[in-house]
Amino acid sequence: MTSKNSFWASCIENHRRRGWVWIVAVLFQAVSYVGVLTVYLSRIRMWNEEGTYKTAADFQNAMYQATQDALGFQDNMFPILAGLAVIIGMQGFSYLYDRKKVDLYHSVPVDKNRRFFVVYVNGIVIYLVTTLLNILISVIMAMVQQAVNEKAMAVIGLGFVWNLLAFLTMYNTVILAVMVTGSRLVTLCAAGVLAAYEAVIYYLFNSLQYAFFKTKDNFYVAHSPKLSVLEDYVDHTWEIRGLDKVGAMARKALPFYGKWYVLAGVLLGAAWFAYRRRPSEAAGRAMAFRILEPFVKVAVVIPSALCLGMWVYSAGYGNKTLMLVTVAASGVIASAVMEVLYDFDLKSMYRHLLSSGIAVAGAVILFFVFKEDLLGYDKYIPLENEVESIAMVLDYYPDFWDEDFAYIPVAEASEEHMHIEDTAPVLALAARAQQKTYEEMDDPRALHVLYRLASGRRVGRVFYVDFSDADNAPFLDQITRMKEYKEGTFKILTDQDSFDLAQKITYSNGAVEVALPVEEALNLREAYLKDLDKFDFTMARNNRPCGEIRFRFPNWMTYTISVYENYENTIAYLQSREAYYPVQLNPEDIESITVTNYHYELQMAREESGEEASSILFPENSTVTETFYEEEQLAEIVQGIYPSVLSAPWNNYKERDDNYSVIVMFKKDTTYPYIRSDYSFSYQFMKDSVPAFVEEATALDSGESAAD
Amino acid sequence: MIEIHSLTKSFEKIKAVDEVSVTIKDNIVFGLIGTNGAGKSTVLRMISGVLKPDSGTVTVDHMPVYDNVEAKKQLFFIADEPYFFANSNARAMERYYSGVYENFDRKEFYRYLESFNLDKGRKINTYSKGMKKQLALLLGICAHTKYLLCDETFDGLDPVMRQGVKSILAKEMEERGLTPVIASHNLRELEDICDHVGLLHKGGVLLSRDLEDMKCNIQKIQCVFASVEEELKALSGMEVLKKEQRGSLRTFTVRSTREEVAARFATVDTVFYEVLPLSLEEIFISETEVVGYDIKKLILG
Repeated sequence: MTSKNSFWASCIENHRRRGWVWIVAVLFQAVSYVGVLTVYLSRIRMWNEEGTYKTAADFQNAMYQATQDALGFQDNMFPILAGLAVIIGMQGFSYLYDRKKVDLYHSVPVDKNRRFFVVYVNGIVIYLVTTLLNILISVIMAMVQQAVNEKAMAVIGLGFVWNLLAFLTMYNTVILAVMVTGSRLVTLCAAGVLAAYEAVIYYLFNSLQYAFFKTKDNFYVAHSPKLSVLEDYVDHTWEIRGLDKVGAMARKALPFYGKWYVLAGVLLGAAWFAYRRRPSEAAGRAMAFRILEPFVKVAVVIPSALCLGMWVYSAGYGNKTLMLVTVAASGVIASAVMEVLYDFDLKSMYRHLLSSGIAVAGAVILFFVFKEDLLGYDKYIPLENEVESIAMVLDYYPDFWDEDFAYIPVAEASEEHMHIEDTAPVLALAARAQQKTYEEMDDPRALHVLYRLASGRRVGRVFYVDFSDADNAPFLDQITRMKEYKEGTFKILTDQDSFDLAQKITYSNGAVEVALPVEEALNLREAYLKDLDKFDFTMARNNRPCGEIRFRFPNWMTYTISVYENYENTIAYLQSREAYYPVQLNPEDIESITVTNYHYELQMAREESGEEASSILFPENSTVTETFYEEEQLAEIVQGIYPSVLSAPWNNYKERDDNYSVIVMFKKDTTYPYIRSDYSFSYQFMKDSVPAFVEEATALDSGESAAD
Repeated sequence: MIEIHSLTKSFEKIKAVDEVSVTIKDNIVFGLIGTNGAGKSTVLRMISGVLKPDSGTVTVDHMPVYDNVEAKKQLFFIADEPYFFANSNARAMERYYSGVYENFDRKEFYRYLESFNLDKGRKINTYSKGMKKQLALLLGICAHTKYLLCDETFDGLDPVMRQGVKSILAKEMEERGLTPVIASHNLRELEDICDHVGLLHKGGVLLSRDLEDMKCNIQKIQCVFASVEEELKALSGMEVLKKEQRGSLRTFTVRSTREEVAARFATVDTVFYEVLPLSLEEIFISETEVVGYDIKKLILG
């Protein structure tokens, strides 16, 4: 029997006054579990009736998956969890808002700690019981419909812990908010601030950096909010839900279990600490601890003012003066709003001008710190002896994958594989980048760089290198010839195992597509690696690939490598397999070539004359298309065209003439090994390679207008 | 015994209680009087452990009361607006308090409820203001604590109910040594209940005395003297707290016993003299005027 004064007797007694919270929690959870499961399973049944599933096994698996998705890691659960945390947390300690209630609860001989933990534990009990009850009902429903298997049960278990810990962190956040405030409205505001503050500060500073710092780059070093459960939950629930194996789900979820558990513990400790020190007279006040008011005001007003300033900056197309005015004005208004909130009195808006002044000044100072780059963010270039090694990505984003052939971001892969210790050329390029603005460069290309400092710090920056500046070429050549650079850029160089598992290999010159024997993948790789020695900036800048080889691996992972005309080992291999076709086409294979002249020069003239944007974007009668059939004409055209599908990294894109598009229609009886069925392929003219007869035929007054 | 020493409490810039020192002896009815805003409720809330003093101490039977369950077991606090759980009835409140106060007498509570014609099953939010105060008092009495702290609890009770409550308090004092501490702004409400009163004004204690002592030591005399010389002779050496004159009729409030006044006036040639009973209100008016306060403004407004 439970003693009249025991902890559990107190818990039961407390539950008598939380009836409506029980009802709300049951309804919330019924919608989240029973409701969602019902919708998911009926949808699968409907699809089955429509014939979506070819076999009974497919249908069965879909039913299992539906149960797993509905009851495991639910992607729309966060608002439900947050809502429950707010309702349960605030209702449990709502007596602290009311002096009459405080007089009762604080005068009776009940230990303060016990009261706290009775209410706290009861809140968790409400969540646990209503959740487990609804999961149980849902699982029974799923069992009746034969829609649950062991895997689904395991995922439901993992999802239950995931949601429980997310709920706990939010619940404890709400309780901390209750303890530091004295009214429901302010508690809601405080809970929002506590839950979102770190994320808001992160995104605010990130956007300020992007707005004002030219070298800001999240490519390698991307700080993300560490304490935001919302961020973690929203980002990773979907990710975990997408994993196939329970073990992988558990491995992915486990770090968050630990993190949220610790976070919930810290928040509970802070809430309890505040509860112990909370004065009874705080009931009905905005802030329980008056001493915190100016600090909270400053801490809320500064980011609020800067956020509004950033919003105006974005909406006002980068107007910095307007942003400054907004920051100052919204700082004043936010300070006044805080004072009104503190006293629930409009007349209080001008109180505590000192802290208001500090808040507004803080916002304005921070604005100037970013605007004028007072901390020298953009000027930062580490000294050579400070840098241990460098990883970089230079305007080319090759594919990387892991041992399961799952995609790996290029930043992650290059960081792992590229350790350039001869840092001088990179640092020299960084210094040269500061001498010219982006607008002053003729062909600016982004260079993402990661400085690994001897101190252990990692610094990421992006700067632009003018590829058309001949003085940059020696540094770029020096970098791109380095073994470390190539190892961190070309997966083919470091990963022999994957190529042994290639499922399909094809060569293309932009039109043909020839299959190569997969069993010779390593021979092809070996030939290509020999040619890769010739790769450097100048070679890639001055040449366009004559074709490309595409590998297909398990998990539909594909990898494409460019073949240049000086890659003699690769070309020799291709020739030996009768797979090599020059990039320049044989006119004898061509039925016709259709050229469209867009006459962009006309659009530019219209733009300069100030015509309306719509007439510039959608010009009438300015596109002329002409088709050529005569062999002589075709022979002249093929001299100056290049396949659109072939990518030519680092090659000067200005060499291509965007004014024209070219469609090559091959003869149906050609010996070309086509894969595609429509015989037509897209090409582009190179600059100054458009034959005169093409220009003439597609001139505005002589050709066939697209609008006709 | 409740001992209050140099108790101070401020709410932001307002000093609600300023250096209050009072001792509340056991088994008496202690009246805490003062105007609205004098600090009565704040003192009671500090005695009950609801508020933490800024400085000074409150001990209940030598135990500090704030955050001390053992000390709070000796107290039951009835706030000026007692709180009852939403949609609850007397039975639900009894259930709560009997779980909190280990000596709560449930039988006695239901007996009293019947005597006071309070329906145990009726929702408290349908009770009148007076009925709610009666219920709060009954809960407090039946909690069987040593001290019952009542904040404006008697204000608004009808005379019959007041009499009933007074009888119960008297019984409880006699039977188990209950010490009621009653705060009120109305002197007339406390006059027939209190043994000892403390007067609070602007957060400080103006005085704290036994009512009987005060009544015995202050006399109101109406008289007509035969001559001015006789008047001077009668009043010489006597502490006159207040003096009024209407024609030849003089009214004096003096600090003295009834016997001393009678002895003095027996030696003086008077046309007429009479020693009149003083109300609590008059005693306070006299006492506080002596220390420079216009009590009429303080108490009567």
